[in-house]
Amino acid sequence: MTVYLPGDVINEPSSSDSSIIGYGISVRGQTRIATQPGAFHNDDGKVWLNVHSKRYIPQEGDRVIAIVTSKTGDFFRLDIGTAEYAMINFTNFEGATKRNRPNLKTGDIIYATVFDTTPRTEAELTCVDDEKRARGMGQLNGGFMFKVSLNHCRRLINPSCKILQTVGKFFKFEITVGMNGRIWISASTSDDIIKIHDIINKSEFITDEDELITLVQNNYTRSVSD
Amino acid sequence: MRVQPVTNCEKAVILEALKIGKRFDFRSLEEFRDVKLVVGAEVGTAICTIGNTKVMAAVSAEIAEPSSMRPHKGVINIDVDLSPMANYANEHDRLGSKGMELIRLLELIIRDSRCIDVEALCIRAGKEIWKIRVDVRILDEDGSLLDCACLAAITALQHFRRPNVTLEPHHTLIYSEYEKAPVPLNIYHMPICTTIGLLDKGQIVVIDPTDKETACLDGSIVVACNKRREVCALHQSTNLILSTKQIERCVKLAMARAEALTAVVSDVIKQDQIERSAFKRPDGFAITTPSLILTAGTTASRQIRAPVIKTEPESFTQRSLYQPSVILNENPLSVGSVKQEDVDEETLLAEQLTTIQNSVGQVEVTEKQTVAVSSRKREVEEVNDLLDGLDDDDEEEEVQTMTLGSETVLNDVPMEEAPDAEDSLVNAKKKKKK
Repeated sequence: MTVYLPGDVINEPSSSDSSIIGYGISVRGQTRIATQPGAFHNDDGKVWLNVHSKRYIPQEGDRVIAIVTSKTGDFFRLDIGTAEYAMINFTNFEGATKRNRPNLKTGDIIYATVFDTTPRTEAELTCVDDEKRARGMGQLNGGFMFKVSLNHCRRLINPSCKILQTVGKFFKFEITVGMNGRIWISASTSDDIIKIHDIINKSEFITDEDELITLVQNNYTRSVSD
Repeated sequence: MRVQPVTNCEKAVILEALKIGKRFDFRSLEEFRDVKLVVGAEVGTAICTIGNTKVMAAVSAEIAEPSSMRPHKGVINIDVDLSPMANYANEHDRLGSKGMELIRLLELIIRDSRCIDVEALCIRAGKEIWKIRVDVRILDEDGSLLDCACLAAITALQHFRRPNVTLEPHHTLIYSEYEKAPVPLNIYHMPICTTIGLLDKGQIVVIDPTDKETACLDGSIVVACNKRREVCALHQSTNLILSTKQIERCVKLAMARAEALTAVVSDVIKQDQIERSAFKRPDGFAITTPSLILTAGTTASRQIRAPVIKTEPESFTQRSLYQPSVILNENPLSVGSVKQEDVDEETLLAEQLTTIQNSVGQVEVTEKQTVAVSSRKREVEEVNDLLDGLDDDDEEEEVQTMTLGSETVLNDVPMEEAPDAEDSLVNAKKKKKK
């Protein structure tokens, strides 16, 4: 694994001639220059840098967790952790019509997909897919939401990740991971929410599976406010 | 920039957990976060860390002309810098309502409680005075900002040394630190701030709330008191109606905290004086990087063991009295005389005492912690036998020894200093061994 700093010229040979330039890399003429510090990845004609960051930049197709901040006419203004607010139309919810509007208040959170990220305008979100189905998106009720780094979110939604599988053996919980660094968890008691929140926060820098199992077991047997 | 809004589900879960006595960092409602306190290599600098809140304080002095109203008193100025580094809601060079509240409370606690002798800062009445400036810089913010800022400022003032001044009939001689030893400030007492959050109209007390908990609470009350159980300041934010019984309960909790933190500050300053008097250049802020003070939340780090300095209580008292007038002394005879080593039982007792004090202080001692804990428990039992009518302390076990030890000193002779507490602890150990 090669680590590049901003300004470095990337000379890795690609496996195919047509390369798709990913995050953290920009093309200047014939050369590729790293714009973010990160580890280089190359997979089937795609090149990108794995960057550790906490600030989210909206990308089209990302699933994010948004906070409703206000309502402006037909649009809700949402906070997704970026410099500008995002927007969502009330018709972008499942089954929403002019007579049947979604009931969202300030402070509610929703799970949505970014579908328009034109530069110099606000990002637009949607809670339905092309067939007007929610597929798990929409308002998230109850639970607890907290923030972690973007790397940890990408790691959690990796199918080969062991963190959520190990936690699932000890606790019964429901989790939604947003690509903007926000995680929403819901469990039956406050103790479980506190313990799962602590496990997810501390497992960011754990790479060994035995260490992860030890952390989950310790939190399972631990009493809150001991 | 904008503040991230508190979501409804987040507020509901935090309030539900607080009402049944649970917190998201596994503390109980009446438990404080860990305090880490480091003094810098430059005199008058300190970094204080409470949880994820980090504050740096620096004290400087200059000679100024006094005002005509108070021609014989020095001046103490407090300057607070709330930068966007601490919280992205802050703006550059603007305090805001939170910053104004912070600076007014710091002025009230440090200046108006008269903890520093300002008349001793006068050089010539009406002509020359010392002007002390305390710069408080907020590095990171996660609740209890005033507690951390006040503790950092008090530690920096304790650590500060001003240049020595000699008055001639027609002129004033100011010596550098290489000609004459600098002079510490004359500090009468150390006011310690404690923020106590209130919930359910004051029925539930949440001590040392974090940023998320502060956003969910009804309000908070700030109590500043010192080791001698004197209340220096009392401040309540937001509209909240409290009864006197609730305020007295908060004041009692704050007094126990003030005694514990005063012992921590005294121990850190004493440790730094020992290093400086042994002609060592102190580490200063260099030890903050591996000991997780400025890099909270990273992976495993190297644990620094505090240097165990072999000092007898008597020789320490003499050495503190005869502080060397020249800091950089190249005389090998005096260097050799300072580093004498005596292998005695008293030395072993002093080593254990230093280990216990260091475990309370700035650097974590992990290997000797079990021994320190077991001996600390025995001392706690002994002190509990001595003290019958005192109330139960809700403090952590690490600082309980120092608290009860200082209470012993308070009960016997209220005005004695910390070396006598060491003597009482050493005498307690001697009696136990016999």
